Amino acid sequence: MKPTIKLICAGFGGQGVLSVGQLVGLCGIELGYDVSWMPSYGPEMRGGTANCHVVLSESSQSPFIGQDMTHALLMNDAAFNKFKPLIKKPENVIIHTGLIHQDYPGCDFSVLAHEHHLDKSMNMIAFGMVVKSLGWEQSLGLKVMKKKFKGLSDEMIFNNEKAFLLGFTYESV
Amino acid sequence: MSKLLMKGNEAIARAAMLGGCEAFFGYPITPQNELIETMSHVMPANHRVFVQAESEVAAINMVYGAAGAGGRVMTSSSSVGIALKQEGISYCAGAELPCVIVSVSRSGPGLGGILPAQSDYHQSVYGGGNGDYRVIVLAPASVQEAVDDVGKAIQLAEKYRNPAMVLLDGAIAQMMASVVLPTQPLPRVDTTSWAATGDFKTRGTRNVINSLYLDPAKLYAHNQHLQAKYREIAKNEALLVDHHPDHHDGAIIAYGTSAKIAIGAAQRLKEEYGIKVKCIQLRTLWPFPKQALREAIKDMSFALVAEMSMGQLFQDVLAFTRSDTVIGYVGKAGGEIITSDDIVNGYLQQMGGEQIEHSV
Repeated sequence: MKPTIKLICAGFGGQGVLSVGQLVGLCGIELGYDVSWMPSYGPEMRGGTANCHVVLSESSQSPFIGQDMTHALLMNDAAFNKFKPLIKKPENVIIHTGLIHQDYPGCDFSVLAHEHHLDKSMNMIAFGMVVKSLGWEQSLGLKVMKKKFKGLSDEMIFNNEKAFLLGFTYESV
Repeated sequence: MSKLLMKGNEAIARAAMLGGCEAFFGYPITPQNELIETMSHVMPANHRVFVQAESEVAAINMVYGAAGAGGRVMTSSSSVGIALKQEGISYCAGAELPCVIVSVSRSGPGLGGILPAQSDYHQSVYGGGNGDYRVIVLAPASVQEAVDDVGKAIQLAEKYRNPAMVLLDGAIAQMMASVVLPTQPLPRVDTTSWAATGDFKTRGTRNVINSLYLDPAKLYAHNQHLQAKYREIAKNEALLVDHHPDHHDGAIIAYGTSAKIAIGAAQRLKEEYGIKVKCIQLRTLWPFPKQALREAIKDMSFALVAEMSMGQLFQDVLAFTRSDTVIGYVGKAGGEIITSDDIVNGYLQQMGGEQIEHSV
């Protein structure tokens, strides 16, 4: 029985957290999980904690929202304060250190993206780190990105993949 | 069959089109906008009819017209929009027109809010239109169940010549989930005996779509005919799912999103407190699965109703089960989703007989 994964991705609207959650969901389908992706919508989106709950479970009966979340990608302070308490294992939390000054695994996604001229693909760095932290293969991430980004320009696809690999190989301190 | 990751609203729209829906009439409202948005491109692309009407009232009356002509027709809306459609739904029921209404409920009353709630139980099950009419109400708890229920609603509507509603909340509509869509259009029921298709000359008789009966004896006969049909539907189509057939200590009764949460709560009650509680998920709200529910809880001392409304389902469970089982209630309405903590705590608090305040 594969372990159930319950991931929260949260941050400002525009940081790309909902897309990261969808890509994780697509990975889940490839791995044979039953998947749900539950976004915040409405007023919450305007309050700085755009978020989605992604549940990967072997049983289709698993609740799609809950308090026993296992992993988190947190991209701003509001998201950290709101969702950090829900995650039992600190090593399962990835943070944007540029905006959250806490001692957790993660990196300054903005700076790293800017250094590599990948500003528009910042969230793919985060996706790479999430895939790595979930113990999945690099090829799985690249496969679902190919599906999800079909139709985008070659340059955008190339940059997204580059950013993903940057995140996947990033050594968090 | 390949699984797709798709938003509830989009999946419902695509399932309806693939299931053979020929015409869709709608008007935008959160949280069902992606449904009408998806319909706006998949219907014309497949040579079907799509109309964004000028209002909800217009949309349901277009449904009346197209269904009257024998079309496989659907509309969708949310809470306040469904409220506006009530007169048209009563007309469809009165004229015995098959049609599907997808209701994605948000929180109320009034303009309320746009976040999920289940406060439209009464609106769906008892309706706001006039007269002694009934609407079949299916209640999915996941995106896949919503997709399956759209197909089922099309078939039940046509089988019984009656409006059928799929009632879900904004959570299921807005979430993405792995889903398998239908591949074949559903078989058609012959409509030539009643549909107003304009072929009077070849048939020799006129089919008239109408809900006006000025002669009281005729209207009474029509009502008796409708009631006989409703009894038939109640006998054949009431459905619940017992998620824990080997649990007999107690029960949590819920539908839709609340049922999904209740399944997890039942699991926690077993693992953390050693209480074997079954989750009973109501899959049809009308007809209400009275007999099956009575049977499922008859030897229990306690059962808890969990809902995202202020006791609407609780009151029906109380009325329909008529047993010695104490029925408890846990719920909230306003946009927050009920949590497994809410249900577990509610169960533990009330199983000993403690009474809590609920709706009047």
